[in-house]
Amino acid sequence: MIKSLSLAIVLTGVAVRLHAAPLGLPPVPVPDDNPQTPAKIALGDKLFHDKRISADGKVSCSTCHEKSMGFTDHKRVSEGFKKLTGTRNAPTVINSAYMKTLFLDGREPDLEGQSTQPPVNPVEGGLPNHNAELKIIRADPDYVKAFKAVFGVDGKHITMTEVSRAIASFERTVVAGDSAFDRYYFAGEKNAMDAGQVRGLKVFLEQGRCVSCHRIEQTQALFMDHRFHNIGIGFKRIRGKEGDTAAAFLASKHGGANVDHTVLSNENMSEVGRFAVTENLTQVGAFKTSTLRNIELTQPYMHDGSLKTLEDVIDFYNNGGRLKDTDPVSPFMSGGIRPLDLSDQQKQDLVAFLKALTSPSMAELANKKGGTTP
Amino acid sequence: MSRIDRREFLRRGGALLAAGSLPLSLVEVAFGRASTENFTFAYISDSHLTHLGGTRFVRNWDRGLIRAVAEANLLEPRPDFFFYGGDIAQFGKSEEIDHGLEILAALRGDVHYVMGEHDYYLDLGEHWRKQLGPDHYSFVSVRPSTPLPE
Repeated sequence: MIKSLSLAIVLTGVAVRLHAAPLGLPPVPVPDDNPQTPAKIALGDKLFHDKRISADGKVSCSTCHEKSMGFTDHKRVSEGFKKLTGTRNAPTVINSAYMKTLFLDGREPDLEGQSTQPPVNPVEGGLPNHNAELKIIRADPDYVKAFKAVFGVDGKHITMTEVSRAIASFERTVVAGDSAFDRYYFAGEKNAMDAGQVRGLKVFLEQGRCVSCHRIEQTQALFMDHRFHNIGIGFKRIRGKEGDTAAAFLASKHGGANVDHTVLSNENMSEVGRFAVTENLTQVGAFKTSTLRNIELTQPYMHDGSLKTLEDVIDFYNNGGRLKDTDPVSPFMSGGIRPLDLSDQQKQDLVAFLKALTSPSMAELANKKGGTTP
Repeated sequence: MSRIDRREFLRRGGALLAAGSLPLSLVEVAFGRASTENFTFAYISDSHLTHLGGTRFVRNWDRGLIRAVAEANLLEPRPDFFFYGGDIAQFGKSEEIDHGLEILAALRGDVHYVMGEHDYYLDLGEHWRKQLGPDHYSFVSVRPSTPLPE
């Protein structure tokens, strides 16, 4: 057990400081140049929920990352200003503090960088540029006072650096473990999960092969591997057009197009996945492994929001990355995806286990608004 | 140590590209027919397709070769030819070699093959030679726009 609350380590050249975390999670990594303070977190909380920071004054971070919906929006793809829609399902903010890359294709290295993009994306916040965003913030005396107190900067000197650091600090507090699984697995409470959930854990670890990417470690479990895989989702959209789509994307990117704008505005180009960032042919159609914590609260599923229920997701994997076992397999699909031959009972148990990953704190937030948790 | 910045992050993302893990790469060779005529080829090898019986093969190896072919077909600029460096088969069975050639037939361009010991040892290379010709050979690779050598 790690006892130190501020153990400094160096990860890939990034000095980070670690803080204590709930049961089942590692300490929250915090960058040295953006330490957590209560005032900064409160400022980030306010910015996160501020609808004024958008072109029509109706869209905030929380529009798509609503706390009563597991910090998602329960829509297939997110809806921005003027009800414009993007191409991807909103990933949860819960435990994003642990992610080594942000966005489903990992195009930003940290929460700070991630938080700067949506307000100026043409189908999200819709603001023309960051100056427009800063103008809104600088015009509010309460913000001016708060930025002065937290960062020591005067109103006209507030930049996206301070704004993004405040939002990231707030997001680093949206951390949730303490699930039935955590109590069963890490705290030795043998009755924390019911018999079906215990059987589901076995499927998860063995025949279901889920744990290969949705990792469980000896002392903690993030249920992600920080990697990118083509699992067959979205294949139908660009089937047979992978080469043309990838080439068109590269031509657009190298011609100066903004990757963030392109992948959220063009449904076909969205499907090139991680390739959009690395231009590596082995990553065509590959998307980041999502965490499974609180998955029960964040339907619909997959990067394009195409699967409505956990049962649909299990069927998809059971068919080897296909909706039906007669559908063609994407030639670009990860070799790890294969038919699983799970029985109906095993599939039910697996869904039951996934529901054991819900954190009480997040279930409570969801229930307040008649959420989906039991 | 300073924090990784955006530029560095993107640079490292790109550096991983060069160290891709699939048996696939694009090589520019600096001695074509004339010193000004460099050429490129894509290399795939070691599929080790494994026959289980009937029409069944080990899925992992099948998927690896199918994926390599799909990715090789996306290479831009196009390689002048593809080179298969051996071991289509695991046990040297004719079913394995035929299955591999069926998958490799999807490569868009000329493919030149080398026999691997796994292709060889069951029948001393008989089936491989029947399908692909002599195991020692030379070839001339010609771009469609290039006139044939005299």
